Amino acid sequence: MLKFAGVKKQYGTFVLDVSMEVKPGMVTGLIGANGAGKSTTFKAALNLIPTDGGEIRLFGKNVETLTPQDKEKLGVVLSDSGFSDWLTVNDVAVVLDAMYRDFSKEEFLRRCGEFGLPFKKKIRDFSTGMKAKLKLLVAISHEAKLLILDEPTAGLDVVGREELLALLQDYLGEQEERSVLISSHIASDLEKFCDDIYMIHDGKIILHEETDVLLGSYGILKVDGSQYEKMDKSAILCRKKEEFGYCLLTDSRQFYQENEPGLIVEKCGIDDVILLMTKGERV
Amino acid sequence: MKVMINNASMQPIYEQIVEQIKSQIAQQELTEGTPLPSVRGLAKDLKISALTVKKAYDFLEQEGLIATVHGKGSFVLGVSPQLMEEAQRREVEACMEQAVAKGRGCGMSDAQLREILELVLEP
Amino acid sequence: MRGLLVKDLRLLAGQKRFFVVVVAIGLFFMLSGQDPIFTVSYCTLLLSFFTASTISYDEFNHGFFYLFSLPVSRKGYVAEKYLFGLLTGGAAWVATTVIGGLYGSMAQEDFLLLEWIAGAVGILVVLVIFLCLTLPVQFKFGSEKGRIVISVGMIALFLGLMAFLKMDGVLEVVAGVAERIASLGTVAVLGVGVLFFAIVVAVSVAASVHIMEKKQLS
Repeated sequence: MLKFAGVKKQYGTFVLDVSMEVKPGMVTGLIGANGAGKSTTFKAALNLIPTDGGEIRLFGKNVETLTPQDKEKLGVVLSDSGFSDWLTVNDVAVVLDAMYRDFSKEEFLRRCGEFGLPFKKKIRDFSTGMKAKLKLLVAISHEAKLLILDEPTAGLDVVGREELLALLQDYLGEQEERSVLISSHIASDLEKFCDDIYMIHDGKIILHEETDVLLGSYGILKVDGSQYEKMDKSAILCRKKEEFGYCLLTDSRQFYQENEPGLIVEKCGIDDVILLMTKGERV
Repeated sequence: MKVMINNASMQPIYEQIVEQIKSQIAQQELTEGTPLPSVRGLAKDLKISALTVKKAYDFLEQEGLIATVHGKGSFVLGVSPQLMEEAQRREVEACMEQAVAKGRGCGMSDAQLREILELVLEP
Repeated sequence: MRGLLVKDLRLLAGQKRFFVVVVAIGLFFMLSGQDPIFTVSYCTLLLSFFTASTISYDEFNHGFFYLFSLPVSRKGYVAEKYLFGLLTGGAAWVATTVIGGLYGSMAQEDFLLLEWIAGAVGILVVLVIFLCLTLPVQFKFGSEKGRIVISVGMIALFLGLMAFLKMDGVLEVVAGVAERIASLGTVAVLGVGVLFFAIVVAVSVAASVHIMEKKQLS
């Protein structure tokens, strides 16, 4: 669906260098700290900013050759940008109706009502949470094949996030080839939803793994100096110095559970992996 | 069909799903022809990635327990008595493991544990 | 482009207060004894100002990023702004020309229909030229800076024109050219006018499209 091949972009001292892919039917997550390059990646994917190298292909075409018709198959949420603040939900509905062939106005308005969005209030008077809900409802209102969502749950509380993610799951369930590229810095959202995850740090992809491998096989070992010396380090990805010795990241905790029973092995989440990969050293 | 994930368990999630479905099939809670939830539907309910569910379903299909019809979903296939036996065996094994773990936790030796087993086995 | 048009029309509709004020002032001018042609020019130009403000609504809060992720093209965006300017300015022009004409024919003794229409057409020409000059500036500099550039530009143009005309012999040359064109007959004059018009519009649109396609969004 969407493919980045060696895409480069330079902003002063910051250099983005990204290769990644969203396959049909998949939910791909992009996680990283603020300023790591997530928004830049998204804007490049939508041809909103020019790139200094590499190629981005969307629906099989070079992104710079996309026509408005192609863009009808996209559903977009951007973190810092949306419909004009001076429009109301009713206005947005009419605009979408004129822009998209597959837009259903009744369905859209009904959903807005379900989520408690006022119809006649200007968007500038919405709370952050309401704005986020509106953005997502717009993105899924016109049978888009690919959703590109940059921090769609920003500003929402736990309940709001659950509702949005459930909405997305339903949307994806309607048609097999629908895909999503979603970014967040809330790891738990991605863990519950994404099929595979790219981690970005300082403009580079530092890890790409399927979610259930991350949750099912990755692990953290805590060892002291002497244990570290003696142990088999073949499945260790990186290490971080701690008070007690080292914190180690492995991509196969079963290996250590079976072969080195004396060592402390824990499951880990995406946050742990990021911390170790960015703050630790490769091994 | 009820599947519950234990997030705190060290066992990978797709394995947990596979085992739970297997034992439900073996115990006839899931009968032949019963449709399984859609991949997305189960992923949404369990709050996990769809790929994980797909892996579990693929695994079960490879083992001949379910069949997937493209566009329609997955269904339970007939159960072999061998499978039933295997599942039951595993369950008993799990119970015994629990008992052993508990005993060892109290400081009992293997010999003591065997004693207790003999005691229980007597009619 | 349809969607963009709907959006800008809805934005306009949302600014009811602006509307009411413009209409009120326009009516006031007319009824207080001023030449109704004033009303036509005032209302027409003010409505075309609104086109510039739709650009500022679009770019506010990084809005361009989202806007161009929708099914629109940069060319379509430019085309829609010209169309919107002509539609809204044109609608105001038609309404005020008709109303002003009716009023004038009733209230003024020396009212001549042809004169009135000629004057109104003059205003229409000014509207189109105004759009053609200001839209490319708005696209290039954004609406905030654009306003400043336009104001400065207008003053500079005015001063420059005055200085140019004051130069020795220029006035005679200009008068001579005008006489020559006038002597060609009304049809020719109209023809030259229309040609000039068409060139201005074409150049303006081409410049706008070029500016928007190269523009770095922010």
